[in-house]
Amino acid sequence: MPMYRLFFVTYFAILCIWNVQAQNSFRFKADITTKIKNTDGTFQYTKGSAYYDRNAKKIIYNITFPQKEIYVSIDTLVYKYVNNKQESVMGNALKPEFSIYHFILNNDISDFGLKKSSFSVGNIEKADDLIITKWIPPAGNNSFFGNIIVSTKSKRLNSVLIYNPEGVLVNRQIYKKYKSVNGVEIPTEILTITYFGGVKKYQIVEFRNVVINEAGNDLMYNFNVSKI
Amino acid sequence: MKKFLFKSLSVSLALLLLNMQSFAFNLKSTVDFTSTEIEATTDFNDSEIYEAFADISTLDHYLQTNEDKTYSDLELEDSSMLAGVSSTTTLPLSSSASDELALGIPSFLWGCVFGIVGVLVVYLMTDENKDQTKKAFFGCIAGSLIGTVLYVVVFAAAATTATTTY
Repeated sequence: MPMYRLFFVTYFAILCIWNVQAQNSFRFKADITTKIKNTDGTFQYTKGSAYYDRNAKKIIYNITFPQKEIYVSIDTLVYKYVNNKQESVMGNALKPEFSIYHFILNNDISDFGLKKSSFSVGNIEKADDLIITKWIPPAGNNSFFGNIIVSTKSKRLNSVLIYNPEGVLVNRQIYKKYKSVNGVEIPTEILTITYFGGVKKYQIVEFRNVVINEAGNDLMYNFNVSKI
Repeated sequence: MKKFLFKSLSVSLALLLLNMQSFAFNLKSTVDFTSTEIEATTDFNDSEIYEAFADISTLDHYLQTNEDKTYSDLELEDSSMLAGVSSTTTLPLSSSASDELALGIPSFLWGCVFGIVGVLVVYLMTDENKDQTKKAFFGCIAGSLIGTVLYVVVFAAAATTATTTY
């Protein structure tokens, strides 16, 4: 086989393997730490493990600190378990399929999942080494969100700025310390500032020991909320 | 060789054209960036966020090496690490656990139907959650108002009927 043909065949084979690998990512597991500084100066520290299966569409948090608890997020509800007993049910506006875990597994994280949403691209600009995209909400948008500014650095999500419909900045996020696990790009540190008028709430989320496509442990990934 | 290169070039150009079309479709309405939007993106100073957590760095380091410790364990061992730290869990990257519902029933309904008892139930079952207790309290006020209005209407109707009878 001539050299140039061998080169093209190898090139396309690598591209196909990369694509198939990214498409086949369906499970995410990581040790997770969440630190929050509230607007009144108090702190919240939560530590545990997160499990997400793209097909089951359930996020399971096995929390070890402050207390040993399990939280299961399904659709718009979160079930809380203590000592294997369901203790309460909470409302949650963020469905699992719109979570960062879903975006990571779907390779949608670089645009913050907005490409598949009702938002449209308003403008794109290059500043320093960042590609900045302005996403505008659909006309007649009555939600909490206004424009969203997403920046990428070397094709990786770098920051997200969320404005309210009045054009006031309400949330800033920065995605750092990327690691590639099984061909999936994962930001292992997410820093957030939420603005409430003149006061700020800070949050740091860290992922450690990330596992993609863990085999077994099915009962945890597809936690049956009615079973216990 | 020449034929193969021409074919490759044609396929690449076709793909590029297809890509540019979808890109152009997305850019149907251009909205200019403001200078503050660009500045807010490029001047994101993350040191401010790290500094905000300096007070709990000891707790952070301790929990990295003592993974099984809970809040109650630390209260007994060294409560100084827990200064200013709440004992409530916060779910990461969610819309917060402050939306906890007692038995999955909206707090407003608890207050509206069961009055002050409903408020007490919400307060106790949501781990003293102020937001939910407030909702239950508003429900209680709404329930009381509805009850009063109904009572007045029924009483007035009864009185009118009695007057007409005599």
